[in-house]
Amino acid sequence: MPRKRKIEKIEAKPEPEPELDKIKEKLNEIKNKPGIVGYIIRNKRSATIDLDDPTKLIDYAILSTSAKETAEQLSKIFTLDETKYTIIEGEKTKLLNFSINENDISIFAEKQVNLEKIYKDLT
Amino acid sequence: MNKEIYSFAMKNALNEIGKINKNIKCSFIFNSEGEIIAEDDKSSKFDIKSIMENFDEILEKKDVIGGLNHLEVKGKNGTFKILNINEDSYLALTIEKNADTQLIEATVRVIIPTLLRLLEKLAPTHPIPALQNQETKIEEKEQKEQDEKEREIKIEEKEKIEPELIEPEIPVNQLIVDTIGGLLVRSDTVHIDASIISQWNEALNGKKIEMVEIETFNGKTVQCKVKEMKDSKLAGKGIIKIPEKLCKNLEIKRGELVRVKPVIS
Repeated sequence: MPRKRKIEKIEAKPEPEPELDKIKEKLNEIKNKPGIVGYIIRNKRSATIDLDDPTKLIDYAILSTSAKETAEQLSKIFTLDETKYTIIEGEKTKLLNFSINENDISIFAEKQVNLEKIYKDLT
Repeated sequence: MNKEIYSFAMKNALNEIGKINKNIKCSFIFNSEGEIIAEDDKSSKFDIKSIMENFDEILEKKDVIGGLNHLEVKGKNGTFKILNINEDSYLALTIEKNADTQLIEATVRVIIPTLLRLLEKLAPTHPIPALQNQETKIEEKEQKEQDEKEREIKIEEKEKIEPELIEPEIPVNQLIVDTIGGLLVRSDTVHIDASIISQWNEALNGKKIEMVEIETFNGKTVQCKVKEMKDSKLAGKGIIKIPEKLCKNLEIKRGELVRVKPVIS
């Protein structure tokens, strides 16, 4: 009778990202503040999205990406140097875009929220 | 005021603002379609058109956040701002590092909209594409109203004309047959009371009546010439004088009733 081979289950564990976890923790705190609609955080390996209204997810994601790309172009054209943050304000909602190392963060909030203060708190 | 003059006025305003605030690196005005309306002298140093190309996606997605009121790109070496200054016009500013951005923003937020309003008052047909759109809408509305009025007038005119165009109802009279005979009597002509002929004339808008159609109760019809009766004694009696030969053809006798109506050629 052939011997049974012992098969070990090997699970691929995600690489630990202490910086990302730390940012997420902060963002979760901010998410609970009044007027915060949600956030998107992404890097080359992963993306985390937490939005009050998931139906707007794609639109928000496109807008935040466009904002990042536009900011990079504007920085080049007007020699603004490294971009600290981008704020886009609409009639209902405003968006804060910034990066911490390789993590691109977008925070969506209601009009009355002070996003500059949030930026300062997070960086 | 044509487009060039308008752009010139806006350009001068932007240049003057730039002189007051030395920290403004450049400024320009564009609309939601990404069309540049005016730019200051310093803007020629920068590739403004490529900026607008990059900005298209944001303009497309601006409704997600309820339009675009304000955009700020904060760099280590300066700030780029876009301010919504009019319903569909945006002012873009590049401001140097350490400048008082709030003061600059406050200044332009007062001057530019005031100038826009002033230009609008001076020349309501100014050529800002965004405002041209509004104008177009107004023109379209006016055109629509004009068309509506014209349509109403046409209907009214048609209504006025229609009575003439509509074939008037042909009057029919029942008349008593009286016969006429003799060698000189034309067998193809009947005589009717002048008052009846004049009534028919009125009913047929003055049309000349030369022929009538006579219909008997047996269903026989004939068309023949008509003339006014000369005998004043028979006036108003409702009599039709028909030649004997014709009466024979129609198989009618004196004193019978026939239907008589004018024939309109």
